[in-house]
Order: sequence, then C-alpha cells, then structure tokens
Amino acid sequence: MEKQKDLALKGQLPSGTVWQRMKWKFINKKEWQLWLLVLPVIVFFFILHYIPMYGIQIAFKNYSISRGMGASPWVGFSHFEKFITGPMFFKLLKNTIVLSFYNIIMGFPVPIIFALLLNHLRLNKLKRFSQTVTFAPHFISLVVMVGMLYLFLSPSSGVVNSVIERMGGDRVFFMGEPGWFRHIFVLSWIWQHSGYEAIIYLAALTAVDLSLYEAATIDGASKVQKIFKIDIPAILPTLVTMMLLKVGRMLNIDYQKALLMQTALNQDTSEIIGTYVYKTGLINAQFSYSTAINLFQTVINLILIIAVNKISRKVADESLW
Amino acid sequence: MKAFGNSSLVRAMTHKQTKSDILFNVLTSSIILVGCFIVLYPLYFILIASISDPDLVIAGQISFFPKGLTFSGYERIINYNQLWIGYRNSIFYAVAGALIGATFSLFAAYPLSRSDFSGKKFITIFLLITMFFDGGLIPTYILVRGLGLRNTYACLLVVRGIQVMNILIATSYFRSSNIDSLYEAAQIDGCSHFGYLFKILIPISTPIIIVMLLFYGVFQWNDFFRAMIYLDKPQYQPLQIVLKDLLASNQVNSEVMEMMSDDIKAIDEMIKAAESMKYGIIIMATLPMLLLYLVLQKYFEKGITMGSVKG
Repeated sequence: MEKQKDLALKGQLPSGTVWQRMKWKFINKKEWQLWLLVLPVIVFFFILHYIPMYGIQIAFKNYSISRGMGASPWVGFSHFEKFITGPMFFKLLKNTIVLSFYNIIMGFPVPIIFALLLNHLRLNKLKRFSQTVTFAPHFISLVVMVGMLYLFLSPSSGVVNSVIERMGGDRVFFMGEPGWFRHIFVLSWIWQHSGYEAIIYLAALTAVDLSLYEAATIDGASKVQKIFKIDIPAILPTLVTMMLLKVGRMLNIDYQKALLMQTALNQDTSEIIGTYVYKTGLINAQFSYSTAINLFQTVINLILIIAVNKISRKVADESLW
Repeated sequence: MKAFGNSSLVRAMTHKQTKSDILFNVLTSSIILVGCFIVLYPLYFILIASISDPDLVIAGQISFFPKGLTFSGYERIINYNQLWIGYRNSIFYAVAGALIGATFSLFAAYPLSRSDFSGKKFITIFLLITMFFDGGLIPTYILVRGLGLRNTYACLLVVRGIQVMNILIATSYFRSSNIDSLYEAAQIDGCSHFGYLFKILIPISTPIIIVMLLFYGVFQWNDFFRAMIYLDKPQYQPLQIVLKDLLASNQVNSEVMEMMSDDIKAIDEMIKAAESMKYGIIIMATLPMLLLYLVLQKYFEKGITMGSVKG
C-alpha cells in the first residue's frame, strides 16, 4: 500500500502489459472518474454524429420510408451517375466554386489590413472603440443579416433604391437579379465578419517581439516599412492556416445564407450544392438522391482539405495537423 | 475590449516621429474611422428607421436623425403574438442550450486536457473526425425523426447541442492553465479528479465557463436552420423562424408578386405597413445579443483567440 501510494505520487506506473497498466490507472489513479466525465460526450457524438454516418448507405440505395433503411434495395452508384450526368451538375459546381473563391479572395484582405492598421494605431481609445464596433455584426443572426439586405435593397421600399432614384438612376431589383447575388453575398460577408477575423490576426501580431520594432526604428524604418518587413511576415503563418481552412472547406460555403438570399429569380447564381441538397432532400423528399449529392460534396471536401494541407506543409511548412 | 497590439509599448520606445509616420497615423486613423462608420451606420439606420414615419423611411428621407417620430411599428409588434411565442422559446433554447452545452463541454475538456489520461488520443480523434466527415443533412434528419425529436422542445438542445470546436477551446484553456502540477498538489491533499475539478478547477476557470455559456447561448439564439427542418409547429419555433418568415420568405413572394402586378399601389400600401414593423423587430431580435456582447466582450475575444490556436 505504501509503495503504491509512493508510485502514485511520483506519477510513475508499475510495469506490466498495457492492459494491466490501464487497469491500474483506472482504479488506483481514479481514471474511471475521467472516463465518467467524458462519457456523455462520447455517447452524444456516437448517436448524433456516428449513427448518421451509417445512414450514408441510403446514397447507394433507393430509400423508402415505409421499408426502412435496411430493407431498401441497393442501387449502387446510380444516384451519383444521375447527379454527375444531370443538367444541374456543372451549374452547381460552378456556382459553388465561383461564390466560394470570390468570397475568399475578396474577404481576406479587409481583416488583414484592418489588423495591421490597428496594430500601429496610437490612439488607444479609438483602437478599443473600433474593435468593439467591427466585431459586433458577428453577433447578428443570419436571418437578420439577410433580412436587412431585403429591407435595404427592396425595389419598392428599400432605402438604397430611393437614393439611387433620387440621384437619377433606375431602381434595381437587387435580390432578383442573378448578376447581383454574388456581390451582395460577399460584400455583406465582409461587413459582418471582417472585425471577427481581424481579431485572429491581431492576436498573431501581439506575438511579435518588440525588440524587432525597436531595432527597425533605430535603423530608420518607417511605419510602412515595419508593416511590410515585420508585421506581414509575422502573420503569414496565421494567414496560411486561415486560407487553408477556407479553401479546404470551399464547397461548404455558407449555403444557409445562400438559401435565405435565394429568390425565384436569382437561382441562376444562387443555387449552390448546399442549397440543392436541402431542396432535393427536404422539399422534394428525394432522400437517397440528396444524400448522394451530399456525400459527393463531403468526399470532395475531404480530398481538398487533405491535399491543401499536404501542399502547404511542403511549400510553407504550415499545416492544420 | 482589451487593446491588442503593441502600440503603447512601441510609443514608449520610439522617440521621434518622422513626417511620413505622422502622415501614416493620420491616414490610419481616418481609414479606421471610415470602417467603423460603414459597420455602424446600417445598424444605426435600423434604429432610427424603427421610430420614424414609414413613408419617410421608404422615400429615403431618413439619413442621420429620426423624422416623424412614431412608435406605431413597436405597437404593432406588441400585438404580434407569434413573435412573443418565438421570443419565449428562444430564451428557453438559449439558456437551456448554454447550460447543457457548457456543462458537458467542460466535463469532457478536463480529461482531454490531462496529459496522463489514457483515452486522450482516442477520444480526440473520435471527436475530430466528426468535424471533417459527417452523415450529412438527410441521414441526420432520419435519425432525429427516428429518435422522435421532431417538434419537441428538446430537439434544438440535442441536435448540435454539443460542439467539437467548443470542447477543443475549453481543452486548450485547461491545458494552458497548467492543471497537471496543480492537480499533483491537490492529490497530495487527498483530492480525487472529481474533487479537483469541482472544488479547485471550476472555481478558478470563470473565463472559460463564460466563454462556453456565451458561445452556446449565442449559437442557440441565432441559428435558424435546425428549427426550420425539425420544428414545423409554431408553438416550438424560435424567434429566428418568426423573423425568417417575416423578413425573408414573405418578402420574396410579395416582391415577386409586385414585379408582376399592375396594381403596384395597393401592394405598396400593404408592404409599407409591414415594413415599419420590420425595423423594430430587427432591433428586438438583435439587441439582447449585442448587449450581452458589450458586457462580456473581453471573454468573447479570449474564446476566439484560444480557438484559433491550432491543435
């Protein structure tokens, strides 16, 4: 007993097989308590996230509610064939990728520029104020965000159109024109999330060694030079990681927002994979077909994120895992 | 918000400002001010539009101050029953969801943050997999329906009620607060894991508890998608669904109708009446979260920066 207590205090383990050691830890080091604490989460994720993975099989079946999952007949890859050879495939893929890239390209400079400027701002009050203000829209819900768009951009009652008309222009049905969808989507994203993303870059900037700035000042560097020679290299790893995550999740571009912004008239550009999965699955109740498209998307995503991670590990020595 | 960056220290160390530096400072401040204006103005506009004469709002006459002060929009809101049901439900979902999510996330985070826990690697991988691969919309829907969760108050508390990202944030917080050495000291005093977690760790971890409560609470308050697919009876629906029907869906239909109708005038009147209410509703739906954010912002920031720490 005395010896065991001694071992426990030192945190050493008795010799023996893996199982014996685990058993010893389980009882003597009260590891069962740790397992008990994490158990609800394990059960939760098993039921809510792993059991649906088993349900993916309906992508290869003709699922019918009355027969149930097990008894529905297998149809192999026919749903995938139908999707890939179907008329929607290229349109969906193009819309998703274009929207995603447009969002990534337009969306990444603003938070970075904001963070870089803020980092060199001398007025601490303004600094604090601007951070508080720009972060706030992040707490606005998607429904309200899109609701605001409808409200401001309405052709009949929207304030934007009133201003356009007063300046001599013609009213524009922003939410009804395919050509406007992507611009509105991306600009409102920038408005809502730039402040949030800037905080991540600012956190990376606080890690900069202050003596670097000191040395740069002694060498007569201007602020602009400091930004380019010190700050940008300092946030590069964060930038790479953020871009990786975004490119890797490219097909997952916020389809809920696209769905809310979708009108009967702008579907040419607003129909993306995510919205199509929702519509075929839950509006048209084509469960198997929808799941097949969803799986297609998930697999491409998985390939993308692994590929992107490999590339960056080689090129930039940065990786997600 | 706690100021990030090094500016005050840099100032202490730099002696002279060059001309270009002064120019830089002026430019920087102006750009940031313009940015703040762009962010703030739409929100401010909604506020003043909600108490202005709807005719003037629609005519684009409102710019910086409310005109034709009226509270008719808010009066209409008070009599809008479904909105209050949604409000009540959302408060319930946000409070209960925050408590449940935060509790289980923190419970799981403690073992995962311990370097000597034998299940650490397995459970971390088990959780991480679900971030990159999941059953997707329909298999999840079939499961939720099978569990009998559709049209219940429990539904939104269960589906996505615990999130991997939050567990990881809490784990990295515990890990960074050097709990192993603290534990050894507690163990000598005869403390078990339970005793240590509840009597020592939780009381000193207020920031992460608040972060967890906030993240889950805000998520539950703002999310509409789960409610849209799982709850079709009005008595269970949260505020966001009421808002969606009012702000997005109906708007689409009326707008499409309007483009096709010859009798624009009549429909115009209808829209106008609804319009004045919309601004007020946006304020009412958003204000609680914005106030919460203003009061607790330093914690939010902490959560985000902790979450962005990879690994």
